[in-house]
Amino acid sequence: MSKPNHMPRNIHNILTDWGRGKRRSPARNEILKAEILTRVPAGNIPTVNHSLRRLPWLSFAFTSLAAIILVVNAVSVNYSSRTMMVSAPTAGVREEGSGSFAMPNSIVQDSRNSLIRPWPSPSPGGSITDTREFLKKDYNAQVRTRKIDELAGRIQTMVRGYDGRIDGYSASEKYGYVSFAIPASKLEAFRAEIKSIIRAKFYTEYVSSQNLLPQKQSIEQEQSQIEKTLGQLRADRDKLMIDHKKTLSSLQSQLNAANKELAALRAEVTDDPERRAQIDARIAQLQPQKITLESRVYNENKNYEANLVSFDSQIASAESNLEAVEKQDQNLLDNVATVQGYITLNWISLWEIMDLYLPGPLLTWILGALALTAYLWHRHRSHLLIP
Amino acid sequence: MNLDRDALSKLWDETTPKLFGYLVNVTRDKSLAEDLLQSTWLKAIEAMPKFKSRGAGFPAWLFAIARNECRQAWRKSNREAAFDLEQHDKAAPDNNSENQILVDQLLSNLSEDDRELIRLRYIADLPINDIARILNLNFVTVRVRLHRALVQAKSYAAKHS
Repeated sequence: MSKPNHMPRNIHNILTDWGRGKRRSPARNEILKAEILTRVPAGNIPTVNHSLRRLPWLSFAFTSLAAIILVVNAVSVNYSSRTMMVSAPTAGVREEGSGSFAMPNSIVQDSRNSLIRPWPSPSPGGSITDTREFLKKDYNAQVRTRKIDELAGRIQTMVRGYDGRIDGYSASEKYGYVSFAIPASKLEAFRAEIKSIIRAKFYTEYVSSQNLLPQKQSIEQEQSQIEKTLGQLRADRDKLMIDHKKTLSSLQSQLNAANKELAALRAEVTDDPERRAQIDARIAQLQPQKITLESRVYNENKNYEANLVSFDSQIASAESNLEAVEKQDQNLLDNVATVQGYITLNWISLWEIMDLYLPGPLLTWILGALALTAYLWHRHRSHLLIP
Repeated sequence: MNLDRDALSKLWDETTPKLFGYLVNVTRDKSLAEDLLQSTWLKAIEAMPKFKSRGAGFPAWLFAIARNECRQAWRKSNREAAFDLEQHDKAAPDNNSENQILVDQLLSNLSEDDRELIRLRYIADLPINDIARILNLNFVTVRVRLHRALVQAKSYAAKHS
């Protein structure tokens, strides 16, 4: 029989001697023994083998299973994270839902452990000299709740409270959905309030933002080009008018001179046949010149009118384009100032709630509880039954 | 395993001195101890076919029955005798060695639970696992409590030596 090694030998020896000294047979030992033996029934008394130690095997089995599941889970988590590391570059954020704002139905599937690619895809950036930011934000969140209808109603009220607009809404027993738009300036306050009414473990959000600088730069370039063209057209129109005026004035003065000379020649009265011949010759010379000049005036006016109409038309078109580009610019700014968002609501079971709160797989905890129960049951059974 | 008369006789010879010593130490009354010894064995023989080891040996079971018999006897006599060194083991005048007296004195300083542990460990000579079964305690608890009792006894012994 082993004794505790850490106790001083002398106290053990003393107590062992004491215990040995206390052992004694009763005075009527043989009588008592005989009496007891006579009570033994004829034949053998069946007894149970008491040498075997009963161990809580069931408890061991549950504990082992729990440990195996824990290890397998840890290994699979490592494997999946390693797989994700070698995949294409990602945004590095957890996805709740598909991450695609265009396809809200796809967000229903639970893909918490996957990574998503950035959406919208980042466009190739321009020069770094332009550091302006026109961040277009998109927001989506997945909420797990046991009161879908009530929460959907509260979210709608909140959206309207932040000067937002509800774009879509649905609610059923197991699934709900609210899509909305709110001013970008109020997004942070909105998010803070959402987080205040939903526990962090039941809420996952995804906020994406994209700088619309390339679009802005494109609009600005187009605007600049149109303004340049418009300026050129206006200048050309002005030049046309000036040139036309000049040309017309020159022609008119020539025409006036010709008319004046013709009138003078026709008014001249002479009996000198030589002079008459000179006058007739000059008139004959001036007459075609006058016709030519009148024709040139007519043509000049006609061309001028046509060119003017053309310029006016081009200017009107350019002005229209400029207006459209300015509207596009305003749309972009409005777009930046608006956050499109949606929140999906999924019903959560009590098991899932436990799974969220307990570290490690739920099955491990269940097996752990079973192991404990089995151990307690074993302990209970291990008590000696006293007749 | 089947138990015949010879085996039972051998078992009696092996167990009875410990069991009787234990009962005398508990009851401080030899005649009562004899009665309890007898009733313990009788109950054990009657219940033998139903006996299930459950990790403890037959002697442990016998001592568990004996403890129960003591309790019933106390209940019947409506007394829970306090430890009195004058009366203690008065039926054993031969236990007058120096060590015996010292142990009796240091046991008087222990609680009844600790004394029971010491009895089962050193008079009944039972392993800690069996003591745990008898007392319905955890193995570790028994080990720790025994250790503390021994430390306490040791300090008393050191003080009075």
